[in-house]
Amino acid sequence: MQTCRHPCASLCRNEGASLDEASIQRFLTGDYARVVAAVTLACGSQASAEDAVQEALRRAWERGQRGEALDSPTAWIAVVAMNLAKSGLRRKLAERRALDRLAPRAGSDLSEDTMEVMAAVRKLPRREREAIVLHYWLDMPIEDIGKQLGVTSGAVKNSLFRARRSLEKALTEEVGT
Amino acid sequence: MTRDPATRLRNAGAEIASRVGRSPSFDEVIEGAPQAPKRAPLVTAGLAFAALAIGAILFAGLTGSFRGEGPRNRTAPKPLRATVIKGATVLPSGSGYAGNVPVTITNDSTTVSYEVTMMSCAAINADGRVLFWFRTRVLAFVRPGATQRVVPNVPFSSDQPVRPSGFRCHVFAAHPRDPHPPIRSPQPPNPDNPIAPGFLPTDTGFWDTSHGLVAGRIDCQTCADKTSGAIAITSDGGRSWHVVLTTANPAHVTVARGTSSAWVWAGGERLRSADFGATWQRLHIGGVIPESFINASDGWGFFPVPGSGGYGSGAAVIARTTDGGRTWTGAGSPCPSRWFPGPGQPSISFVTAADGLVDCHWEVGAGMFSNDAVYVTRDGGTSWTLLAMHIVPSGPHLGQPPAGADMSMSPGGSIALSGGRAGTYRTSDGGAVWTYLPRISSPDVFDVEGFSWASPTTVFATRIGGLPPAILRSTDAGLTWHVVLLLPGD
Repeated sequence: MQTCRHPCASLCRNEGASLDEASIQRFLTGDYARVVAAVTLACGSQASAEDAVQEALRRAWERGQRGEALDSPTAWIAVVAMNLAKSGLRRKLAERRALDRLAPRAGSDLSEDTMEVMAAVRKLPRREREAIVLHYWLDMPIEDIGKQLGVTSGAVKNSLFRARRSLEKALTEEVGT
Repeated sequence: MTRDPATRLRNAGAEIASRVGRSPSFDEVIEGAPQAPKRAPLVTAGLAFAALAIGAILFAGLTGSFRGEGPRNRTAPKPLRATVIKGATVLPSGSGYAGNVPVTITNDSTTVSYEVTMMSCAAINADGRVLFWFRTRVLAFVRPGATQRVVPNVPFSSDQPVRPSGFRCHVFAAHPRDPHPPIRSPQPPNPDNPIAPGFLPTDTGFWDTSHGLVAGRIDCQTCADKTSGAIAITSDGGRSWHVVLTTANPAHVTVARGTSSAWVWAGGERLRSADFGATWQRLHIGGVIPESFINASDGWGFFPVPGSGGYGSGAAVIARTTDGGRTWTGAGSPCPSRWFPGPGQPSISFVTAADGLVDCHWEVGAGMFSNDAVYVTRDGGTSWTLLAMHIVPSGPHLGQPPAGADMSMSPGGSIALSGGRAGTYRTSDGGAVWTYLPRISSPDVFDVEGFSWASPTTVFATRIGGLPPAILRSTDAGLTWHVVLLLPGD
């Protein structure tokens, strides 16, 4: 790890979070699958989620190379990957979908329960979807989610409340039918 | 089955995570090597590629003569050779060691320049056994000819408890670059932009009246090259220039007069040159922005601290270095907390280790207008005294935001210039009384900055707004100005 040389100590606390090769390798062997699952829950396709997480990781690395530190690398990568999966990488994702159609991936047969949850999550508004996945799956504190999404903690709580209510309703209906 | 949506979400996440196959390797994600293949035949191909790549690196390291190339095109060898200089910094760090490895790179080609982007090194123990490998991004421009060398400090860190006793390095990735032959600018000016299409100079730095740098941004809508910053060098007082460095962001430059040192700030990049701008080394100093150096070691800069209220709400900490910009420590700041965090602000200028000025800017009202104040120190920044409030007392630019404002003291310290969107001002009493300079601050020319004193009487600057961009020179300590080079823009 690089030593902290910032004259302002408060900005140094996460110097260890500036991503070097070792920390990226740790992420790949540690949190990678969890973050891919988070983005899959939010965007619906595991292949697209993997592409988006890898692209986010590349961007995090580039930031680290520029000397910038990330407050919470895992959260940053998850949020950026969610954004990428939604708005960017369109062409690449279209190619990926086309490939998937040609040769369906073995092992993509998720359980019915998981498919139901994914379908219910995908019906939520984007902000609620992101908040509920970050909080309940990645166990991120509400304050951190607010920071990453650029909203207040109150807004995150509100999103979580609405998302939970909508999910409960959707999943109850699914079970009931 | 539970109805709790949070629990069901967690179960679903766990199931998806269990289906995520092999994680990609660092190389696959970062180096642009093939993405993690999703199908069996491709997995085999990908592993074979990775094995070949690792084999190539190992072979190169052991022979010590790898001719660098990136992972995509290893078949075309490049005439680059790396030699580790004795005296790498190796210090205990955590459970292992970290430090910097100084390397010279020799370019055997007599015609082609290269931009080296990545070095790969092996740390070896006293027996010559390889302890670990590391690979690091660097930025080094190697000009043609065997004598052109660069010395990037290649940083490393390792959790291994064994202290490396030496290193072997090679160039891992390099790309041929246009050597940017010197372009002479005739008078009247060449309609073709003599530095780069769309080049807008924002900063100058002169070591003496002949040798200097200009830095700026490239704003070229029609160019294929998306590079957005450049540093060019002159050895004839600014009449001809050639580009020595391009950066991903608009560049700003500071030099130490009478030395061969220069410092560049370009977005997230901080670079230092010790050889009149010919070669550059990356500084890993986070967000510190170098502002003023009195010799190759002693300098001042500032560290923008973003505020929660967006632009204009941040503060800045004055930072001091005594080792040429490698490490910085915070120093006192006289300015109000609401400084503009932006290029060149606040402006700091020192002429000796004790004597310096700082020109603070802060926002008034709803972000439309600004104030400034000049403070002086006689003890190296420990204490500051207010010299002048509102050095923009009148004139056509009163109330303009001082975007990009810049202040610089002459070598003697009595004369200083301050410029920006609010006009150009000059003081000859050390900073107490400032006079508006109408000849370069006419309504047609609303932004002159990038002041750099080459001698007690010769000062260079850049004209950014109004008339076409230009590099200006004054030989009477800032009273009258002449165009050295016109830059027609994009």
